[in-house]
Formats: sequence, C-alpha cells, structure tokens
Amino acid sequence: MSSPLADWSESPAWLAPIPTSDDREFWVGARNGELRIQRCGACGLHQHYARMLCSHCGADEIAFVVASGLGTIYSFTVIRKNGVPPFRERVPFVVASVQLDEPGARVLAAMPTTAIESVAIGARVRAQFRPVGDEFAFVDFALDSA
Amino acid sequence: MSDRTLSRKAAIAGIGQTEFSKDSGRSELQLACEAVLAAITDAGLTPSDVDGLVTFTMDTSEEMEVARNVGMTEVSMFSRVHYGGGAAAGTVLQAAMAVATGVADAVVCYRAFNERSGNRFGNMTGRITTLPPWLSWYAPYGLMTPASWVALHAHRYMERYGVTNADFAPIAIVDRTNAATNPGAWFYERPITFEEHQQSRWIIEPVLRLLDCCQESDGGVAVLVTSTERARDLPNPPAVIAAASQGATFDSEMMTSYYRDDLTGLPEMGVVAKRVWSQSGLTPSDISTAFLYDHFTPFVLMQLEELGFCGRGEAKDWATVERLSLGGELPINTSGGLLGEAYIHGMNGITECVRQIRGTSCNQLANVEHALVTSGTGVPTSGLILSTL
Ligand SMILES: [Zn+2]
Repeated sequence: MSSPLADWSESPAWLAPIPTSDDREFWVGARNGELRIQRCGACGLHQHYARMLCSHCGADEIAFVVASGLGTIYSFTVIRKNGVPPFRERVPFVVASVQLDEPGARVLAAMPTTAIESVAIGARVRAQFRPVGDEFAFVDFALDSA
Repeated sequence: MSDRTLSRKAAIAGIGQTEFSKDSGRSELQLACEAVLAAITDAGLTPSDVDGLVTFTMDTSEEMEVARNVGMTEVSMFSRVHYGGGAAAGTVLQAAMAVATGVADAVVCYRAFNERSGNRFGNMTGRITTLPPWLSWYAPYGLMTPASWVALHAHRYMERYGVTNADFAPIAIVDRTNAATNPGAWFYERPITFEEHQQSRWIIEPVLRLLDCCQESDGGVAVLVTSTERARDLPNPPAVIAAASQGATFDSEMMTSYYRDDLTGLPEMGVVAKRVWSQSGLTPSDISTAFLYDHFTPFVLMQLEELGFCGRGEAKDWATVERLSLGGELPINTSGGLLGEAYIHGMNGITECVRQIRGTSCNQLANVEHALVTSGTGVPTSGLILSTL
C-alpha cells in the first residue's frame, strides 16, 4: 500500500546551492559521495552546517571530516502538500532531522527513496547523494537496511 | 527599585484596527493608515501629536508614506522589528523605550497586510530567485511552509512527552468558543466541538489537523504608546506596560532552528518569560488573562511550559478547556485568538489585552489586573505584560 516514489533527479536552478567559502566543502563532498561535517579539535564534537566556531565549546579548531553517513531519525514530517514545482509533483515525501552517529551533529534532509509508511522516530538511516548542477550534490537519507 | 527599568513608564493609550476579512479590497497602505488613524483618535490625540512610528520589517507600508497620508508633521523616532510575528510585542517595546527616555512623546506601532488576498506566507511560487541563507538548507528538501517547519519541533515534543493531537484540541476549542461571541471575529458564531477538531483533515499527520492551524487574514492593527503620566489624562484607561522584552537564543532561526540541541521547547519564549517576570515583579499566578500566539496549537502548549504556568511536558494535562475558558484559572485569547478572530501577526492580541485592561472586551472578564501577551513562536520573539494603573 505504499505510495509510489517520485523522481527527484532533476532540480531547478533556483534550488541549487550557492556555496560560501565556509560550506563549499560540504557540497563538493556530497558530489564525491561523502558526508563532510565539521569536527572540533578542542572538544571532539561535530557540527553541521558549517560555521566559523565550534557550536559546542566556541573553539576555532574546526576541520572537515568525512562522517559515516549513518544516523538515527530525531524528528520528521511528511509533506503532503507543496504547491511549488518540483515539489508539487513529488508529494508525499518525508523530511527528517537525523542525529548522526558522530557525536554533536544533526542533519536535516529529505528521504526521497523511502516509503513514508516505514519512517519512525528512532529509525536507523544512511546518507545518499543526489547530484545538482555540475559541481555539487544534495545529501538525502534512506532507511538503513544493513 | 532601580531607575534602570522600563516597567510602568509607558502605557498603551490608543488602539485602532480595520475590519478583519479574507479580501480587504484595498491596499496594505490604506489598511495601515486606517488603523493608525483609529489608534490616534482613540487616544484622543491628533496626527501632529505623534512623533514616532514602529512596524515590522515585513510590513510593506513605509513609515513616511504612513506619516504623509495621515498628516504627521514631525517624526523623531522610527524603527522596525524583525522576525515575522515575533515582532508584535517587540514594536511596543521599541515604542515604550522611546517614550520612557524622552526620545519621543507618542509612538504608534502598526501592522497591516493582505495576507489572505495578497502575498500568502509559504507561497514561494514565482517569488524566489535565490534563497536566503537560513532557508537554503531547508527549501531544497521541500520544507517550505510554516506548518511543515513547525511540525518537526512538534513531532519531537509529542514523542518525548506522550502528547497526541487530541491534546491540542482544547486550544482550538477555547479560541473558537471565544470567537463565537466576538462580532469582529472571522469565526463569529461558529464554535467547534472536540469531535469536529478530531474529524478535521490532517495537514501534517500526526501533528496538525486543519483546526490546529490559524487562518489567514487581511487587516490592520495599531496601538499608540505614550508615557504613563500623559496617558492618565487621556480619554481611555491606560494599559500600563509593566514589562516588555524580546527573546532569542543560541541557534535561533526563523521557524526552523533545527540545529539547536533540543526541539521540544521554545527557548526564545523562555528568555521572554524570564525577562517579563523579573521586570514586572509578577509571577504566572498574577496573570488575569493571556493572549498566547496561536498560529499552531502545539506551540501554545509549549508556551505554557516556557512561561512557567506548568512544568515541562505537563501542558497536555494542564491545558484543559475549563482552565483556559472565560471564568477559568487562565482565560486565554478572549477575542478568539489568531485561530478564531484574525491573523494580524499577533497585533490583535495586544489590542484585545488592552480592551481587557480597560474593561471593554466583548468577552470581558471580571477584575482584570495584569494581561500577558506573547508574539510569534518558533522565531526570535517578544512578549509584554499590560497592567491597570
Ligand atoms: Zn568544540
């Protein structure tokens, strides 16, 4: 009884990221199939999205690391109505806040390849990557079958 | 008491509004000017007595256009407050500070829009060419409407404290019951039952049903702030500003804030609560009535917790219809709130509390001494306490 999943492969130009010097690493990483987040050298905790200082302790010893891509759903919502193309054609779909296995970081993303009926808070998920434009990619999540 | 306090130095002496509708048939500037003039007249003053103007950054009516159209001659102070509906009480804070410090003598705060018939929030079709930074992390995933933004917070809150959608029904029922006896309310004479709430369609399952979401409205509201001393001599009983504060915290965003540690509270309102209680010297038990910003019912429960009316996770049991109704322990949203009366970005909550202080509400309570007003939740926000002289 699951709803058919829409095709998310094409995104209009206005949705494409416009990376800054701070977060370019994230978008390029995604294009290379990696979830890159920041890790603080002082306290060892992680953060996403990219910032100048550690959001946990304020230190400036920030470096990008490649995360496992694994995490747990912290909260989610099902979008059933959205009048804006291309989302108008994609509903219904899940948007989730994912607590990464790397301590300190959460990532908010869509789950376009997952049936909405199978999503729950606490479910295990894995990052996947969806190219946008020539240089970057979006990070999505899917239920982790492993 | 230290001289460095805003408490009781300024008061709301005039209130004004247009009718609330779904299609005003006139410009936002026209609505703003009508509301501003009505507030000035209500205060027993003339436009040339007004020397300050405050509005929302989102408002489309330029201060000087308003001043020109209503005939203000000399304006010494104007400012705008950011963050959507979080600005409402913040405009009064700006006005009160100006009046208390002698920067201005009479300041009008206004907000007017055709939110239903004009540019509706959440409608991004054809309007966006590049995304603002905070939205660029969310919009690509289709998270674009206020209801969907709120849902991620509310869902986690529900999971954590065992709250169900039925626990939000009392807020909607009380709002609509109060609106039913307010001839100015959009839902005048249209109360709802618990069953109707539970049968209304899902907007965001399992969080929000249709009757949990506030309406969209066209209209304008304005209030005139002057010194408490001057307000004593004006025609209407002053609503003394016992406290006013804005509130924001680490990792506050506009409706999203998904990267803060905990999504089960409204920490911006926690800041407002701390400040208004200490500034006024009052406690929750002193409050006769409250206007709690009710764009989405789950955030009313979370506000009750942040403001200290009950403990964390207790609002689902505390917020009963009996307790929140006229004559109850904490009557809320006596005009019908944003759900029942109109969505004028929270400014209509301020005017209702002024009426309660004056004794002129259509749902007037007995012995009102202190009224609490909150502004938009899920955003950097504001709040104030209005008191009798
Ligand atoms: Zn750190």
